[in-house]
Amino acid sequence: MADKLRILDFDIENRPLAYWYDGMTTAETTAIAACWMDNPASMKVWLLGPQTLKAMLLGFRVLYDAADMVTGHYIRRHDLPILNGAMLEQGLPPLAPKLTCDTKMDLTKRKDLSASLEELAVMFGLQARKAHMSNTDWREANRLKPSGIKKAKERAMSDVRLHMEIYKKLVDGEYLSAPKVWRP
Amino acid sequence: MKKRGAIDQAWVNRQKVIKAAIRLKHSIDADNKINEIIDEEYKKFYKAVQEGKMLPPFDPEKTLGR
Repeated sequence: MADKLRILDFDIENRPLAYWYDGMTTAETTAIAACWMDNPASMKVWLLGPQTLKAMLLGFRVLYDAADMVTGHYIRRHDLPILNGAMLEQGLPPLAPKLTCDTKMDLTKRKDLSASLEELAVMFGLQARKAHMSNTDWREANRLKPSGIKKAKERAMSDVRLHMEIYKKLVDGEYLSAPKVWRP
Repeated sequence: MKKRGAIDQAWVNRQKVIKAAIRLKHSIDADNKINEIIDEEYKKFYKAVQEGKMLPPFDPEKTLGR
């Protein structure tokens, strides 16, 4: 194994697709943003509308497979299972097990303290923020209107950029427990 | 076969207890040291992974001395 590890930071946006149970809905991925931790210029975004879901998944999978570890906020309970479900729906092989650092699940134990990306950014005094989207913006994005897709793209990219900054703060401060293997 | 006398047997028994006590003491000390080092190295190893680095192989002499 190389001395230098490749860490992929990623985030997805998704839209509700069908009513399910207890007010729950099924979900469909509308945007995926991913960036190598050691190269902020490597940001890649896949968007539903301009691309098919299958093309998005195949594009993401190339980076996922090349990564020694992936990181993101709540990825083990949200992003990775949704992407893996999409793989199933699209007739693609499931994602391979992967070492993950989930900055929500692996964050140090705490009580009565929000651990959202936005709150962590403010807590660490970072200037970067999530690209805000109103309910109307989300409706536009989820209808795959060009203006909405543009906003979803910005949102996904800003989430990854912000997460990369927060990740570094959390690692430096030793606020994260050891990474864990996610198995689909 | 020559049978041990009661005094000789007492010494053999005493010797066994001494050996067992010393082995146990060092074994407990070793376990404590192992737990201490493993705990430190576990944190160090995964912090390096989170920083995108693989640590070089463990060097016993450097960490534990000769």
